[in-house]
Amino acid sequence: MRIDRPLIAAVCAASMMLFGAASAPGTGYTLIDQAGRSVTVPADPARIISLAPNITEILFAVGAGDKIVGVSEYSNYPPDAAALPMVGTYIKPNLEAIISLSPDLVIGTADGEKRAEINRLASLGIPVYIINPRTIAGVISTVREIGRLTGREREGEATAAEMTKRIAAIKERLAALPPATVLLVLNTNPLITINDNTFQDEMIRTAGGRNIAAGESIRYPTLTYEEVVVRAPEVIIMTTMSPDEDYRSVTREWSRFPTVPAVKNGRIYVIDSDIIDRPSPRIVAGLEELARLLHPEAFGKVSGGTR
Amino acid sequence: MRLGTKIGLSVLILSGVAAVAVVVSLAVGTAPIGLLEVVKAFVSPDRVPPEVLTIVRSLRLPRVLMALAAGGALSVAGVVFQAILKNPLADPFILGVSSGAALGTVIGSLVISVPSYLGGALPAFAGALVTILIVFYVARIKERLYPNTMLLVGVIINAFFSAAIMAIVSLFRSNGLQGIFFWLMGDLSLVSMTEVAVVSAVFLVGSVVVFYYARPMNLLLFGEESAASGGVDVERTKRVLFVAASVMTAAVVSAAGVIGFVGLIIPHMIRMVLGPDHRVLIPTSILLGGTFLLVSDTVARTVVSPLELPVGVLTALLGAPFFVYLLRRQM
Repeated sequence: MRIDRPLIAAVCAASMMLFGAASAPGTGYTLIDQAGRSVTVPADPARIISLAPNITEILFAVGAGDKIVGVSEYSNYPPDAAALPMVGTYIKPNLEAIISLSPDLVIGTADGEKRAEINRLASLGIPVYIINPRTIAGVISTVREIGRLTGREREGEATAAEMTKRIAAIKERLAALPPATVLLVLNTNPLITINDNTFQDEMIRTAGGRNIAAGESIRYPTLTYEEVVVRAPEVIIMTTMSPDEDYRSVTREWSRFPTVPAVKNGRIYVIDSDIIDRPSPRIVAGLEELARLLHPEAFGKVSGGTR
Repeated sequence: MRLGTKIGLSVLILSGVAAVAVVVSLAVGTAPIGLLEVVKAFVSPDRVPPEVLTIVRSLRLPRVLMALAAGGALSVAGVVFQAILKNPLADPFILGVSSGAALGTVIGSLVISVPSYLGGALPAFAGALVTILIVFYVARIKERLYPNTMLLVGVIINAFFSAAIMAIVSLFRSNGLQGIFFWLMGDLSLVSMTEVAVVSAVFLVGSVVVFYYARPMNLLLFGEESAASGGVDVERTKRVLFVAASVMTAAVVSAAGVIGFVGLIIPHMIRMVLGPDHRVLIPTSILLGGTFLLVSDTVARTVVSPLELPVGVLTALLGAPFFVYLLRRQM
């Protein structure tokens, strides 16, 4: 029988068009991401785009940094990440920039108002895997997950194990100590803090602190200064996006409330917000820093502070 | 110049400008794609890389079409509101449609979490329609729509809904809010072909209705009494025009957010150059408004690429100086 080769070629081409890249032999598998979506991801992704700074950090931590072809704005860690092409902000990814980099995997987060952008990317045939770590344990398991996803399973396991070990060491040192009451300041004017339904609250608890606004009904409540005087925190920690923010003038504000123990004892500190509210492997450094600020008696002398 | 010639000539020139703007807009963006590739993406799609195809046909094309339709719809709505409210400051949002849509969106996304497959457009459209109904029923006294009452009701609704939005935002403080604020300044970055189809259909029907009332609108320029003595059913005209313009505005706001300035300045610009005859004003405002929004959106997505400016920022930044120039020249 004579085989019509052009015809076969045409049929192949047509079926390729019908089924797209996903049906190419043995290159993909389907799994459920942390937002409960079903995603078909490539077995060995080579062109990854990260839509959030913490994802960029995790990718580098598991040794998949060389596979990243684009990152969101503020992907400032590790320093190598800053050299990568930017594909829009954490809030608003630029779809054209993403598609022009021909990614085979996009990793995004569930927060922010990006649902519409993510659905659009998915409908254009680009696999988008959503992570949604809400707890310290969630960050650790996400590190493992991204390791597996990017063919760096061993590195992911190693990073996760190291994080677990260092956190256990912090807990061990704090075991016998009573928690210090703390006010975490996200914004000074108005004074915005956190309740216990936040990632930062778990960080504080793990580092031996007790959040004075834990019981508020809103996740990011606005407190009056009067309320702070009443609740009298032993430590005040201000998170900052930029280390060169005018720290002096902000602490001077607090000197108006000398009855607050944190003010009286000069225990007002500034911490880099990237290491305490960005769910990345660096939260361990954040925990160590917080624990040192809250319990100098267990971790040695603290540098900085108001005294 | 005869009226027919005036309409034909100005429509021809403005269509030419619009066509150039469409081609340029399709050819520029974050991804460097040559004009030839863009043309090939339409005439021989199998000969360009799939990324190019996606970018040109699935991302840029809906934006371009939506800018034309939304700009046209807002401009014709501006023409209508300036005519029936007899107020040069009137624009499509003056009766509170935008804050109604914004409140709908805020309630939809923060309070009742509308499922994502319904998109953000439905709650916005519902909010806008509720606002229109409120204005219509409050400003209608003894079967008559009073322009000043409508204006006041619009101002009050804007104030009340803005306060309601701030109240909800303060109670549900979340980091998803930046998206809403982006939307409040107008955003065409995510429009889909479905939205383009819906908005275009509403826009086309609405524009035909408005154009049908071009002559009564001309007579309304001389006041409601003289229009009535000229054989115009004034109340019916106002009612139909109000509904047509409001529904067009509601459709645009739900799909593309609150794009300010277009509906205010485009009708004035045309009046300054071509005069107040609505038979000229309506088609030319549509064309100029569409082109103006297209140019603004193109600048918004290219000038700080890969980041993007809200398009409402650009319509004001580009439109205001040119408007002031025309205003001064006219004096």
